Amino acid sequence: MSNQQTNPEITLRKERYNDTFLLGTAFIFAVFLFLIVIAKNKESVEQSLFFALLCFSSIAFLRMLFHVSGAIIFSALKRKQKFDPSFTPGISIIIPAYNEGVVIKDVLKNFMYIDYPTLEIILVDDGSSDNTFNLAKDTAHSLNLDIKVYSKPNGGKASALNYGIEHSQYEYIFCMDADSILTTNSLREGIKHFQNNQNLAAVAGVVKVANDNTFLGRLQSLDYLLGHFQRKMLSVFKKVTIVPGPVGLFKKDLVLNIGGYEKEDTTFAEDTELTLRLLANGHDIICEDKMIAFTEAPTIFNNLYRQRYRWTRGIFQALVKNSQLFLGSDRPSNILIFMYMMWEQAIIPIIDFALLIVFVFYFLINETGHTYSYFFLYIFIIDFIFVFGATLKEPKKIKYYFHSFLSRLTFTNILSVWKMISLLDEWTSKKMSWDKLERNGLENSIMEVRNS
Amino acid sequence: MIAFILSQIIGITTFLVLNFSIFCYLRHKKSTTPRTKDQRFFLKYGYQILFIILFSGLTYRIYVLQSHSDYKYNLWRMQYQLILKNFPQLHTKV
Repeated sequence: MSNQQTNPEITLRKERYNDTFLLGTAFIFAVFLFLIVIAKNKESVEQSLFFALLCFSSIAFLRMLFHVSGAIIFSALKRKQKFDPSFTPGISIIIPAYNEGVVIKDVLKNFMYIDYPTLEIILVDDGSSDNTFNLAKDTAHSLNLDIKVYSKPNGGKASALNYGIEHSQYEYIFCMDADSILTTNSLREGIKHFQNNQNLAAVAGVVKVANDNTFLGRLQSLDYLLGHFQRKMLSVFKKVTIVPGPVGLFKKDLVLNIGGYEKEDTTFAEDTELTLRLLANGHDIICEDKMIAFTEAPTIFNNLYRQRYRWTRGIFQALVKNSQLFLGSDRPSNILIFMYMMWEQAIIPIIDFALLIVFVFYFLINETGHTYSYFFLYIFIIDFIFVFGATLKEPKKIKYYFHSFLSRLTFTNILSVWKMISLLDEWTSKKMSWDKLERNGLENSIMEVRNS
Repeated sequence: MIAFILSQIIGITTFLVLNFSIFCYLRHKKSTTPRTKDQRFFLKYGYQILFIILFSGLTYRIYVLQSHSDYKYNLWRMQYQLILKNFPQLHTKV
């Protein structure tokens, strides 16, 4: 008699392997089946694809209308607002850093140009294995800047931010990344909103790409601007759903009331997680056009993939984690926010991906190419209206118009596939870990930002 | 004709971009996932499947273009007609 015991881990792996094998085989059969159907009923398939393209592009059009009208209302409301320029309470800037030796010197040097009277700068070294801590100390000393540099064992970005909040002394905290640089008047532009609204928990700024001197950099730059443009519509309702990691101004007591950044490190988007909890507790969050941070964007596709993969999964994790806070609440706004987030983070990526697949199939079977070219033109016009609105106050508008065409042809499609892959990995609970992206340094970018 | 060529460029670019984005995913997964005996099916044969999709897609596209009844959109036939039409003159000139 054999007395063998099956290792449960191996069994689980085998089951997963069999599942994937079956899924793969089913996929290939489905493709063949589809090709046979095309061969038999080419015309009806073409009609179905046409109908699908019409549906998806109509959704894109309605979404564009919604965001553009939101942005117009945002600008109209902004013109009416009046603020007292003497309102300048103390702000603690918190910079979490992990192996940021390449950029930390330039980032700290940038604080010499910040125009704000009462400022405290806290740098938290999250157990870096390079010389970030010593470099930060030396730079602070050589520039004669009052920067508090702390070091703690590695525990993730959220824990570093919590550590910084604990050691901060002022009522307002400004959380930023260690690869980002602020514009001179960013803090003044952000803090003014807190004087009229006691329930305001945070102000989200604009993230721009510092190294937009490459093709990939410029496409990302456009993508960041479009992201902010969509945030304007949410700002009208004071319910901005993501305060970006590189540029977020918070009211400290409201953040501490909900327990600060997450302690368990269960999500990979700590900024979204905190924002969602603030919203679920009924606080207001708005965005400000003139609070700007320049950040270093990935310069190669592999790094960009890793970054977007983490963002997509992180946002979805934060949404699922806090779903009970939203759905179990008696505030109708919470349910609307949750539905909007699900729509933007789960449904829109699926529609985008489906649009791409249908477009490609249409290209393969359509003989003249006229029909799908009209659809491309239609989608491109929608994109162009978005880009026109998002870059209205940008200095290099024409450059962005040109890139909107190239972006629709390449970058947007790539992102929609990557988003879909990330969501599939999230739904099937694939393991993931924090990926540290390589930095190239911001020295040249700072000069360009200052000159512009 | 220009609209036709443009539409083909847009279509082919989108198709190539779709393949490229899947290629990036596979390359990233291959570099991060340890190679074990029970390596996932798609990770193991991913590049081959991708190549088959790319190649068969483009072949099918050429087949669709060639089977079109209107020779205006049939590139090869159009070239052939042009050569046939101009060949006697060319021949005489030589």
